Amino acid sequence: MKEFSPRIGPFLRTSNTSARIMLDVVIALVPAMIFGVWWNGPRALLEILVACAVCQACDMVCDKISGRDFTHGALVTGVLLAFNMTGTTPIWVIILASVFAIVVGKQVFGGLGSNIVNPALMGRCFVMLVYPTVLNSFTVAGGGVDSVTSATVLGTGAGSYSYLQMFLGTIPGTIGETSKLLLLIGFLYLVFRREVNWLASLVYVATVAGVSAMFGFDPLTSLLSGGLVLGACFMLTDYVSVGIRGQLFTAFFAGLVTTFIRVHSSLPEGVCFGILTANCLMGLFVFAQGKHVYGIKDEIGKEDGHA
Amino acid sequence: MKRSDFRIRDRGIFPSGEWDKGLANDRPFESIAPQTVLLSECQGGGSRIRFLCEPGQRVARGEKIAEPANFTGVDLHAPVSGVVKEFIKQKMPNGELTYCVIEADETQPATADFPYMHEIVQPEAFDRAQLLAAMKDGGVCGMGGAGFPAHIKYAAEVDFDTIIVNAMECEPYLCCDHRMLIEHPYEVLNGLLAMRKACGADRMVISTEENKENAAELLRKIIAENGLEIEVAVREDKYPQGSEKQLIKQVTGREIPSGKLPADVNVVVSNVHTARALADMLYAGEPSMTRGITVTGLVNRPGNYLVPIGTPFTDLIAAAGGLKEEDVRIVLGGPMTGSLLAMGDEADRLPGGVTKTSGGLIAIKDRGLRESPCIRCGSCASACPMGLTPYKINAAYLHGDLPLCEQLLATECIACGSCSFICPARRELTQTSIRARDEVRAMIRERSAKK
Repeated sequence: MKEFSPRIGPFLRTSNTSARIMLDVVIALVPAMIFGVWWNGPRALLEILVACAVCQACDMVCDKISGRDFTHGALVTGVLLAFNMTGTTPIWVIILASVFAIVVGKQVFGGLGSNIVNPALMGRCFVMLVYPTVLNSFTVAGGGVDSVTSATVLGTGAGSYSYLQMFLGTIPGTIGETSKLLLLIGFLYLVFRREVNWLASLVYVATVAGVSAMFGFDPLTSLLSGGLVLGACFMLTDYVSVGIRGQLFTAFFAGLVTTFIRVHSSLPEGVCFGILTANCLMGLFVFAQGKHVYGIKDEIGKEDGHA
Repeated sequence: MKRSDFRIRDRGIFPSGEWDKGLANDRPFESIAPQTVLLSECQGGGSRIRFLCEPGQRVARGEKIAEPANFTGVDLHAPVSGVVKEFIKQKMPNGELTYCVIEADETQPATADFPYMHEIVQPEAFDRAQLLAAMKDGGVCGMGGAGFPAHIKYAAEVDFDTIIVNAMECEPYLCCDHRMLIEHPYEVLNGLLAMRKACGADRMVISTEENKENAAELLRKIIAENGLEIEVAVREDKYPQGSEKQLIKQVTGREIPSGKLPADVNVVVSNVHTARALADMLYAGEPSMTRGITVTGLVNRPGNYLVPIGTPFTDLIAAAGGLKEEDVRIVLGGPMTGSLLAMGDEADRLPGGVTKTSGGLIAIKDRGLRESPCIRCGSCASACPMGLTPYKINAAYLHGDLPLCEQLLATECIACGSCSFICPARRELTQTSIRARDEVRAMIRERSAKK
């Protein structure tokens, strides 16, 4: 991309940059990352580092081949991908998933900003379908307990763990998804920095809770189990969509798919497919983006919607 | 970290703060007596004037020396007494322009003191026709930037119901309107009363921003003392609410339909300086010959200057103590919508001089920017005061897809610069939006010509 010095206004620019936004997301993920490493053991750290390194390397190679400017965006993908893996996932699976996430999830669409779906979720999706057993067993190393393999909350059903345990994260799960508390703290940081559409996250979790309740499941358990909070806070809000109102529809739709998969399918978790499906259907929600343009009569007769 | 970093809200940005306005907003106007004045044939917007004087001719202060050469031009009067030296061409951001150079006499006529500068004067002595004539003869034009002739704007045969004095001055750094309100409030208010009579509006509003609270207080005090019915509206300082369209929406709730003028929604808006210029003409017989300008940024002594039109920009930089650093860009106008006058190393030979519409001369740090891919954060779409989606227009324009630009209503862009300001990927959104706007408009004209 070219360098330029402006000849016409504006001569001032905000100090915020794309790199800063990505750094902020990584910062927001750090608390949950520390917990994940403590709870799953040092191997989790290795997984995170491998995922980041492979993602970044892949991204750089692809950018180089296609003559694009090199960016740091892949680090976020790496961390999120590792967050979606269990503490026992073989390293070579992580490597494959990282390559898949960056190459197929992001670069074939044109790299940073051109991807249709969340690359980290593409990586997870790949693992779920190709190595289905990998994501079904978990180690729990934290708190001095020896490694044990146990089922997820979604697998065993409600009742095995208290709400508090589920909120704090002392339950089996993938590396990054268990501590809802720390994920929310990170999310609050992003909200404070005005970098996410928190309303979309809210719509997503509310849809999942509501629809789960309709099917007779405990809404609180639905909220606190699996990767829902991680997905809502960090993957649904990833900038693959645009248009604030469009994002709300997307979030609602993702919530529906997530719940249906959780309720009806044999898959362990619906968050991944829920968000991916909604990402793909983004085009359908363009109608909701109808912003009021000053001085133009709205065709659908909408009032100024501040969309 | 600046406050602006945290705030992206619907329809607007927050580029300004104490750090920029604070440089000069407590500095009273200083006057400069330039040895020569450089009078541009373009006093604002696309206006042109034709000079009526000859080299060697002696002109007196206030003498008419130029007449309109196109629809948006207004009369120009010699701002100083002196001798016309020559006509020169200078390269300005908006093209090569002819300048009339007048060498000023050493002794200039003393400026008199009039009652309208210290008290409210109702324009009872004038009827509408006389007021419009005074606007025309005084060379009064929109001094906020567009330079549109006041006598044409106020002559519109429309049932005006609201007149707004635009004291928003929402561009960062600038504070000459602020100083004008504080130092010459009676002129501005008397000008407003006269303009109200000229347009017949019932509602008078002076709209300003929170960062000019002291000026608003002063105006309220004078208004209350004199029992005037003028609203002083103080808004949160947000850019670009001083833009005419946004201001009208805010004050009246009305939107100017695409392609129409404020008069089409029965509103007229004038700048603080315009109001003062009319009062000067009516009550002192002084045509529009001076204006306030803020010289700020990376200069040694940022300040405000009340100067004759035509004061060379070089003199202004010198009066402000010169540049602090050489590695700057000297910007004419506000930092958001202004244009690059010269680089810092040319500070001692800047082209041009003050026009009726120059509100600021700012030295801004020169920094290279690097465009990176759009990350689709949507900030530009949130910031756009017109409700456009600049990132889409950018992509469509770069693909050469003008019909899509038209669908995206690129024609409505007001070139405020909010999108480029807010873009974390540093994309040149404003530039592509302006180009898309102009090319789509040309395309539409071509299409309708074919029909």
